[in-house]
Amino acid sequence: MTVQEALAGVRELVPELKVAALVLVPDGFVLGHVGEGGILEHETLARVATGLFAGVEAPEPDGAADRVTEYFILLADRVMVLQRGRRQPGMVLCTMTSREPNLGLLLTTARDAIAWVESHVDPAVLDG
Amino acid sequence: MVDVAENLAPIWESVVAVLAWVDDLPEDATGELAFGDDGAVFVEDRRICWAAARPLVGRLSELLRQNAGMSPNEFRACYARCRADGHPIGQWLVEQGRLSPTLLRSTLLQHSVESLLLMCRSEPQPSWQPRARRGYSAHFTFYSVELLLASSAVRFAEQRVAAETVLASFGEPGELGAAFAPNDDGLGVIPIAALSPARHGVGDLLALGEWGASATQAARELGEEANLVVGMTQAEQAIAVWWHDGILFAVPCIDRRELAVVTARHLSLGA
Repeated sequence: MTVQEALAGVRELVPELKVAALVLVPDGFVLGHVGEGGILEHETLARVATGLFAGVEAPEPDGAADRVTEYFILLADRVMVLQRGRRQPGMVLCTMTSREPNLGLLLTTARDAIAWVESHVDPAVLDG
Repeated sequence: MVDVAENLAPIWESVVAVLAWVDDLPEDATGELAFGDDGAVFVEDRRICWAAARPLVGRLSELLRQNAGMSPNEFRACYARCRADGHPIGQWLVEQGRLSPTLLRSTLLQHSVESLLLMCRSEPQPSWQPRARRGYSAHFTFYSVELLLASSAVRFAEQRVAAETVLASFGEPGELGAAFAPNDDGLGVIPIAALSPARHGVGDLLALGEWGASATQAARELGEEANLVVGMTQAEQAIAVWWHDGILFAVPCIDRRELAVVTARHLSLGA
C-alpha cells in the first residue's frame, strides 16, 4: 500500500479530520498528506512534529522510564494530534481535526491510525 | 537586600549551579560549601541549613530580633546564652514562644537567599568541606529547590503568587505542577513556583521548564498560541504545558485520569 492509500484510510478512522500528514523526523520530510491546505500547511505540520519529537527531550514524568510517543495541541478551534510510530519511531503521523469530537476519542482514533499506517506502509519508505 | 529585582539573569546560572551541586550530594552529606572569604552554605543531610555571606554579618540577628520584637540588649543576652550552650538562636526563640515556627522558617529562608544571591555575584568556585552534624531541626532546613524558588521570587514575586494560585486550583492532580517565567536575558525560563518542592530536584525542575518552553515554541509554528500542549508516554504518563499571562505552567500527570482532570480544569478556568 502506498503512503497516500494508507493516509486515505486515516481519513476513515479519525473523526472530523481536516488534514493528515506523515512526516519523517528529525528531517521533517513530508512523506504524504491528505485533506485541506497546500504544501505550506503540510510543511507547517512537519515543523511542529520535528520541533516536538526532535527538540528538547521530555523529562520523565514522576519516574516514567519510557519516552513521549504522542502529543496533542489544543488550539482555539482545532486539535492537532501527533503520533510517533511505535515500531518506526522515525515516522510521525500528524492529524488536525476540529475541536468537536472529545479529546479521548481523538487520541484513541489517532492511535488506531498510526497502527494502521505502520501496518500498511512499507518501512522501506523511511529510507527514502 | 541584594538588588536583583530588575535583572536576575547575570547571576542565575551560578545560583543554579550551586543548588544543583548540593542536590547531587549523597543523602547523608553534611558539611560546608565554602565560598572563599565571601561566605558559606551549611548543609546537613543534603538539606540547606543556612547560607551566610560575609557582607551580611549581623543581618540574620537583626531580622530575628525584629521579628521576635526584642530590644537589642535583650537579644544580645539571649544570643550569648545560646552561643554558650551551642543552641541555634532561632530554634531557641521558637521554643520560648518568641517567634512562630513559620516566621522563623521564612526569616531563615530570606536570609539564606539574600546571602546566596550575594555570593553568586562573583562567579563563585565553592569548595566542599565535610563537617560534623549540628543537629538542626529538619523543619528549619531547606530543599535546594526551595532556595531556587525563593531566589527567583526576589525578581518574580508577583508572578509567583499568581502562579501558586493557578497551580493550587488544580488540587491533587496538579500537585507536581510548576510554573516558570522567561529569564531576563531572553534565554530559557526560570522556575518561579512548585507546589511540592520536596518532590522536585533542581535538575528535574529545570528540565521540565526547558521542555515546556520548547514544546510550546514548537506549537507556535501553527500560527497561534496553543491553549494546551500535552506530551504522553506509552504508559500514559503525561505533561501538560501552557502559557498564561506570561507564565509557563507545566503539570506532570501520572496517568490518563489525572490528565483528563487537569485538562478539564484548565479549560474551565481559562488558566
